[in-house]
Amino acid sequence: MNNSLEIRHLYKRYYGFTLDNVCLNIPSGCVMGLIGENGAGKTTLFKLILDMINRDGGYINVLGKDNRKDFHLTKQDLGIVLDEPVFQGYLTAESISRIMGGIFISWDGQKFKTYLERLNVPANKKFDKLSSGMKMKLSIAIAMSHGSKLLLFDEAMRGLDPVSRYEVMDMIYEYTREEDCSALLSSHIVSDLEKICDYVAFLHKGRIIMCDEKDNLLERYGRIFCDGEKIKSISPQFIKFKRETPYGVEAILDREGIPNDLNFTPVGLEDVFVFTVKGGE
Amino acid sequence: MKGLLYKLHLENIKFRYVFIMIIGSVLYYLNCFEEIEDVSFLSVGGMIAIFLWNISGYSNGLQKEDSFICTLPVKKSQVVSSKYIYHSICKCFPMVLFLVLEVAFSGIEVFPEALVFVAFCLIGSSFSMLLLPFLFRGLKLLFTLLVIVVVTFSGIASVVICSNVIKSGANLILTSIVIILASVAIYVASWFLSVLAYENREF
Repeated sequence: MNNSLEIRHLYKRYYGFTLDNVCLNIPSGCVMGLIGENGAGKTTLFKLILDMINRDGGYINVLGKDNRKDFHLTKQDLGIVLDEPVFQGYLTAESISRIMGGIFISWDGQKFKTYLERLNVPANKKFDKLSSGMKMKLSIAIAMSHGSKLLLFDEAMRGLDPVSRYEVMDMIYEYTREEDCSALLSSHIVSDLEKICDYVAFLHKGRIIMCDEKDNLLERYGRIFCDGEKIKSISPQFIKFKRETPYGVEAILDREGIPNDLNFTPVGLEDVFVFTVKGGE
Repeated sequence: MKGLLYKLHLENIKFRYVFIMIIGSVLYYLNCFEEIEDVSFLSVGGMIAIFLWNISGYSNGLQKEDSFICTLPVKKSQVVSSKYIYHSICKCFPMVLFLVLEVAFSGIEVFPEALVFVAFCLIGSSFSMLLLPFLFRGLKLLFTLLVIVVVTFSGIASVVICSNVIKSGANLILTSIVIILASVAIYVASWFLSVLAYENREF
């Protein structure tokens, strides 16, 4: 299986922050969620992928090509959402569609219109009269209307209401399945990513601390509630996270280490991320 | 190049530069009134103010606009070229309008003097174009400080030298052509340096 995105030993140093030895692969047709707290380096990583900032080491391959060679051609096949789009205030979504038609070879105006209707973005309202959430939805619709093979969405759900977030995640899911397209989605709202991602990577203080298939991560761990004596009988190597409450001990364990007489409940990605971060500190 | 780049800049022209161009044209025109002794300094000061206003609005939006343009399938050299084209239009339009006004109000016989005046204004502003690579590299503060110094110096120098050339009786049309060609050369050098600066810029 070819990779839509390959990142090897990526290194970028700023004063006070370093993105260090980042390695990521997104197989074709798969969706990867990039989870990280504020300031973890998610946007820096996206900017490095898009060659907006210079890398200090490593290499990046986007759709099989080095992102430093003729990258403007590769961008024809990328659907990118970073900050909200910047257009002149007098432009409407309709006129923006005409402009994009002059920039993207595979621009599909009809599809763009369909997405706008689905996201309730008015086609004839001037850009500067749109709310920030509507501008973000417009940006998402643009990214998915020119036959993109790889979607790169950095905090694309920011500012969206729950209904819109649900709709956008649905659109991304359908798009990646129907168009055999890959996606790298970053967010600190883990519940959004949990629904559609095939792979998950955790970024913490500039380093990838975990990267695996989502189902593997969720099936590997379980949550238990027990008393202090019981937790002591469990081998520490299986305990990933532990918290004492007035009612006992809550712990997240490798399922291999859970005693047969204890019931466990599934954990979510958010739990896995939190204990992975806290476990390393 | 078509589409977004031109549309983005066209809007800037519509809202900001129509005003700038009208004011610029008036200032160029006023500069030729001999009765107003201090008009040279007035026009230079006015042009500096307009240029700084132009650049402050231009550079404040530049970072956000350029970050978005980075997501589009356009070459960095195309981005620089589109900005140079629009900037050149804004610069040349008041000069052409001034020429038209001069000839319309004062007669065709003033054309050589008006043309050499425009040529010196053009080369004076060309030196400020050499500062654009600093802006494209993202060094806004340094660019602004250099603009104040360079525009002041080149603006005053061009007006003073122009007056002396007119008084010297030189062939004004030939002088104008040479100076205009030199201005174009400076523009091209500035464009080249801006592309290099933009290629190395971080967003």
